[in-house]
Formats: sequence, structure tokens, C-alpha cells
Amino acid sequence: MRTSIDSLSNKSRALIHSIIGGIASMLVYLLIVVITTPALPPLAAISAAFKINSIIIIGMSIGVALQMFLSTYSKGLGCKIDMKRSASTGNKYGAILSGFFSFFSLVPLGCCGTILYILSLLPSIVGSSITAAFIQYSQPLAYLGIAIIFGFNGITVYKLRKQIIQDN
Amino acid sequence: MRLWIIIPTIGVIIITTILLMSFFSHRDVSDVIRDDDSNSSPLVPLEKIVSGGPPKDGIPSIDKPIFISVEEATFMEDGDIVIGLQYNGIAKAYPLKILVWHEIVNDWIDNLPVVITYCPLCFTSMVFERIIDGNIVEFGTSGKLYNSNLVMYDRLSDSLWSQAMGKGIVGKYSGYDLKRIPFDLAYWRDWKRLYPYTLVLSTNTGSTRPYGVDPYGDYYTTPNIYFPLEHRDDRLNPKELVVGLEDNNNYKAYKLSDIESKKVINDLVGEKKVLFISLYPLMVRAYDRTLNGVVLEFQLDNNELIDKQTNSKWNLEGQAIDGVLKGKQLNRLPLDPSFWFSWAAFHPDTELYKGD
Repeated sequence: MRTSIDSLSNKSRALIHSIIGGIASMLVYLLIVVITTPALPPLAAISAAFKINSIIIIGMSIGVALQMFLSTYSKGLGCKIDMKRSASTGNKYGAILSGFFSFFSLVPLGCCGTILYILSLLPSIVGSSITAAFIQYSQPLAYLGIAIIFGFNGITVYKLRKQIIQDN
Repeated sequence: MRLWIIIPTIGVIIITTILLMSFFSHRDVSDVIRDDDSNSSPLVPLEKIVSGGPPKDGIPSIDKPIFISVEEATFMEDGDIVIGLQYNGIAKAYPLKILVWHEIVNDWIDNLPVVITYCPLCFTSMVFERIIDGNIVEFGTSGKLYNSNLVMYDRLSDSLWSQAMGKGIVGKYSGYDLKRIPFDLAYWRDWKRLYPYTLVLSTNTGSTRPYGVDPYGDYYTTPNIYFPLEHRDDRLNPKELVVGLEDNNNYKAYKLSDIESKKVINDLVGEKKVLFISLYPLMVRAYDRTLNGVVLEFQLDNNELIDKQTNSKWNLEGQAIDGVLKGKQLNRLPLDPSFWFSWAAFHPDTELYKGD
């Protein structure tokens, strides 16, 4: 498998990586949904998560896929590693932020659910006021995470383009 | 190309997790049966009792509630909803914004041990006497759900209890009925106006929680339900607020808005002649309108509750305050306020009040 992918062109390889990255991030998200919603059959939990957070799930997956594409593509071009690392870190934090806060809106998937349990533990870690703010602004914070992912992707595209122009 | 390995690995993790979780959730319920030496059979199919996620008492009940006066309750806002209890001249209010984080309060009102329960998902609130077989017991959250509704456990026998049914469902007390205590669901502004001496459950619960912020967000006001239901009934919007009443296995539901708009309803539930009265939004009371064998019919006349038979005046407490029946008391009936989907799921044969 490895050899067959290595033999592909840089663009194709980047595309395959991006598809795998996007699917993997979606699977991780849905895995967490299934684990934290034992009261529901897995398919019902996944379907509910899509109904509530479709923009976040799809947005996050596309964002991660785009980041994977840019990362693999720039690596193929021999670009500087530090540029990729900063973008990758930004994307990682964006995905975590987006995923974490989007889980807050999954509380209504079940009474006495895991997410409610986690939320009830949060005040002893970050305090009641911050937890209250997190709950109240969970949706905008989840979208902020998506914005961060796409923001870093935008920066990467800009830097990559600049470097390609410089190299030419 | 590690990602080619990651996807199947995640798939395997998902399947293993699901299998492990279903194994452990069933084992938990089986443990209750194994520890039970009374050979009581479960009242509901065991596979329908599912884990919600948190462990037993993961959502902690309030066992040493502290109460404060209306003046001290500065955290309360007029629009807050409370479960109101009134007994032997004592009034207590339990704000839903506290109960949403605890679901159960083990308390006393005067000399009566009571448990106040609230399931946010079904919007079912119920108050029970917490005496089983002559023993005073405490209840806690089991971390399990039946029909998407809170399943409690008692700390005496570890039996499981369905909140919406008010019954033991698994364990020693399977089939045991908890005695229901009539209560009010009311806005704080109305409750404190009616009972200015009321005590209020304080936020000093022994747990740190962001009281005042509801983790269920807009769930209450959107029509969506994200979990499967045992029995779905499309006669009403799933989240229509109803109050349900039972008499000898006859069940009838009333749209809260119907009672609020009519203010007084004389009706029949099974064989029981019932009076519904709602003088304040959300707050509905039901009384048996048979007094010493005579069936009374009530109406609101210039905002005064009057029975047509004797023209006696009655107050919200079901007491005749003027007229030939002065001093008489109607028997108050416990009501089940909840979302329609929950009432219909637990009472599939329910009648629905259609109005006149």
C-alpha cells in the first residue's frame, strides 16, 4: 500500500492524505459521541449528533482534510518544516476547541448523560463562572474552533503560495 | 502511511467499546437482581434499562438541603420555575435551576420525609413520601434510564425505581408504589406572592455547580427529540406541556395551555370527578370534586371559585371559605406535569382531554 501511494503524484498523495485525515477526524468525533451516549444505540447517537452539530462535524472534517492536504503537498515541495508545524498545531487546537464545545450541545441526547456529568465536574477544575460562560457560549466557541482551523489553513495557503512564487 | 492503519483501528475500538458498554450496563442491572433475595421479578424488560453514562450518584442528589428565606434568595429571578411544596403550614420551593444539576433532593417537610425529583429530559417532576415498608429511605441517581427517564435507586435495598412511574422496577421493591405528594410547578414570582413565608432551597448544596445556566440549552423549546421512544403518540407536539392524572389505571392528559386558558375544568378521569384549577401560569391543581357523596361543579365568577350547587366560595387550597360549605376541604390529587412524549411513552393508552 505504502509503495503504491508513494508512486502517486504529489497532488494525488496530498488528496488521499486529506481524505483519510478528514474521515479519521470525523470517526474520532463520532466515537466520542457513541462512548458518551450509551443510552442510545450507536446509529441513533450518530444520527442525533449530525442533527445537532452537522456544521461542526463536517466543517471540522473539511478543515482537518484541508490541513492534511496542505501539509502533505508542501512537504512534497520540500517546504520548511516549521511552517507546517505551526499550522498543524493551530489546526489541532482549533479542532479540539471546536469538538470540545460542540459536545456541550449533546447534553439533551440523554438524561443523566456523560456530557452532563463532565460539565458538572468542570466547575471544580475551572470554577463555576468560567463553566457557566463555557455552557452559555459553547456554540459560538465551537464555531470559533472551526474559524481557527480555516484561519490557519488560509495562512498556510498564503505562505505556501508565497514560497512557491519565491522558489520559481 | 500510518493513517491506513488508523481507520480500521478506530473501527475496532468503536465496536469493542460498544460491546463492552452494553455488557457492563446489563451486568449492573443483573447485580441488583443477584443481590435481591426477595425473588421479586423486574417490572420492566431489563434490556430497556440502559446506562446514561455516569456512575451511580455521578449526578449527586442533595441529601442535606439548606433553605433560605425569600429575602435571602437573591439568586432567584421572577421567571425561574420552582417545584413548590406546601404542607402543615410550611412552604418550600425547589428551583429547577438547582434541580437540573442534581435531579433528586432528599428532604423533610415538617415531619414528613419527602423526595423531590426532576428529570429535565422529560420535564417530569414528582414528589414522593420516602418511606418504604415503614423505613425512611434516601434516594439517589442510579445513572440509568428507562424510557429516557430518570431511574433512581434507594439506599436501603439498592432497588431501582422509575421516576415517571413512581414504582420500583428492579430489585427487592419491584412493583412497590411510592406514595405521591401533591405539589406545584410555579413561577417564582407567583409562588412567593402566594406563600411569602416560603423557604427556598439554597445554592449551598455541597456541590459546586454553575447554577443558573441550563446545560440543556434550547432543548425545552425546540420540537426535536434526539432519542428513540418506546411509544410515540402524534396527537400532540412531543414537547407540549401536559399534566397527567391517573385513577384506577385510567390515564388522562390535559394540555397545560388548555387548563391555563379555561382556568377551571370540571371533568372525569375514569370514575373520578375531578376539578382542575389554574389561576397562575404553569400552576395547576386538581381536586376530587366529590364531597360527602355529592358531586360539585365549579366555575369562576369574578375571579372567585364557586360551586354551582351551593354557591359556596372556595380558595386555591380547596377549602370552602364562604357559604354553606364553609370549612369543608376538597381532597387534592397528585398531578404529573411532563412533556407529552414522556406521558404518552409511559401511558400508551392515555386519553387526551379535547376541551368543549
